[in-house]
Amino acid sequence: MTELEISGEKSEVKPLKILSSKEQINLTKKGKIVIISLPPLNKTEPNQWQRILDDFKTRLQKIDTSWQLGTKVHLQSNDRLLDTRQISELKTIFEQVGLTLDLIITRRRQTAVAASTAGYSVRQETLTSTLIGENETEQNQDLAEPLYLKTTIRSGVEIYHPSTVVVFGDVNPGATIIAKGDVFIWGTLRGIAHAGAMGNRAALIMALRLEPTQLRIAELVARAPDNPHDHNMAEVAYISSEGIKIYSAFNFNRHHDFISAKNYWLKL
Amino acid sequence: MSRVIVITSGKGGVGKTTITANLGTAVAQLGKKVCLIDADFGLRNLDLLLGLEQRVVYTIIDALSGECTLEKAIVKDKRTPGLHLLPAAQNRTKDAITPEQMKEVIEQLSPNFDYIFVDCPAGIEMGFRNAIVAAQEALIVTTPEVAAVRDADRVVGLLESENMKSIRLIVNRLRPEMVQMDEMISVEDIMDLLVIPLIGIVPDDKRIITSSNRGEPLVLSEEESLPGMAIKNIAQRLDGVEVPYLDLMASQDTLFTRIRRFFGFSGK
Repeated sequence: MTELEISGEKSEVKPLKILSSKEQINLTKKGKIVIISLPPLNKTEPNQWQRILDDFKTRLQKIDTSWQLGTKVHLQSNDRLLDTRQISELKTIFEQVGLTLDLIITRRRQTAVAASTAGYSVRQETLTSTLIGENETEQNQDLAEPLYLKTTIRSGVEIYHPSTVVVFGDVNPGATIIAKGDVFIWGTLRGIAHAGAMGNRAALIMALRLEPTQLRIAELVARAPDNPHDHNMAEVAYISSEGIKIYSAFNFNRHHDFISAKNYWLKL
Repeated sequence: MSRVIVITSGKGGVGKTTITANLGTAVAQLGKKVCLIDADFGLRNLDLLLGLEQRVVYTIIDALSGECTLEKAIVKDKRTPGLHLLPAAQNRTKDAITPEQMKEVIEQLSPNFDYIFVDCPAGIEMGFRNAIVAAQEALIVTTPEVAAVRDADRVVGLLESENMKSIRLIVNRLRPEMVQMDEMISVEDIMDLLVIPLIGIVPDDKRIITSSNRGEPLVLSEEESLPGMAIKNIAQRLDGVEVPYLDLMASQDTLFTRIRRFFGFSGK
């Protein structure tokens, strides 16, 4: 099997800003409860609330929502101020997927007031407890479960996930997948994929058809060859000693080994 | 109850309004009661294409503010029985109306019509949200251009996350001779990317421009035209009739390509 090299720049990019699920609404299942935490307020982004809601709806459509009807939701709003309108918007979205808003956890007094006026139980956290809570979530993110998306990822959609992302469908041009772990596309990758976004150079991008706009692994960027080869073969992109390379995904792990000392994959 | 169908595209200038005017007329010709709503506030032009500009007295904004009843704002098209238009205001911006108000208007109209078509403004901002809020079905108009297809993909994603029940594709301004020369994106390529069902292909034709300028939808014209036929077919397909697709390549065929196709070679 020949090794296919990606043409063009292998220039280093500056490490991306911290891209974690913090920027999107995050869902975790804890026992019988679903914990949904909201991202912190970003004052520089106009209309952030609408974007968050859109992202959230997209995500709910695409993830496995195999909870029982009426499963309780604990909404973690952290430092974000929520008014009654926003709470009821969230409640409507929850109800569409069979979730019941049960408890609102917040650090802001106004949010607590708004939530209780709307008739929900509220837990107001103090600063100390949140510090511990923060550490917990940081650790949780390292152990986060892979995200399985069973759909086409369309233009304009950005998926950030603090672990591996698996897509059963195509990733269209204009769509971006940013994962702390590996990116697996069971379909055609035409958009941008970033594996190992927090610096993991062992991360891989694998697709049944690799026709990406751009590939990023850890801090490296590669763009697709100008004349795409026309073959139906699953391929994998990885960091070699000379930057990002593409290889047939078949038997990749037999022919390659990740050398931790050198921080790249070596062809055996 | 009426079927509420939004006609949208994301990118501007792909022919949403032209399709709305012609398709609305074609559905009315099938004997249905049709209302076209111009949701492009501030830049209305559906009334121009229908040749109804001089008959517009009140707009949807006047009806909402209580200056007139909703019935009064609706303009009847005298040439096509059953066709009605609810014009947009030209002097207001796209934020002049909220999605809730739009929903209310459509709910009021719903019992009186078989079909309500909403002509959506370009973009994905407030005007887009207004236009899609009450619709159960969407028709995506795209032209065989990279930017138009990309924006269509984005819009499909947004509609999917809003739980739109049916999303179908109209490919507008196709030039068969260019597709044959491999100079234009083919319908197959568009469908491969967008993965939504096709409802019609409208070929490019100069007569569309002249009919728009005259304010006479092409489907009204006595003279048969390919785009007119294509739109009439879309109207029938919307109504649940199975109509075979026009052979747009037919006019491009030379004896040689016909013989080749006859013997099972591809037309390319």
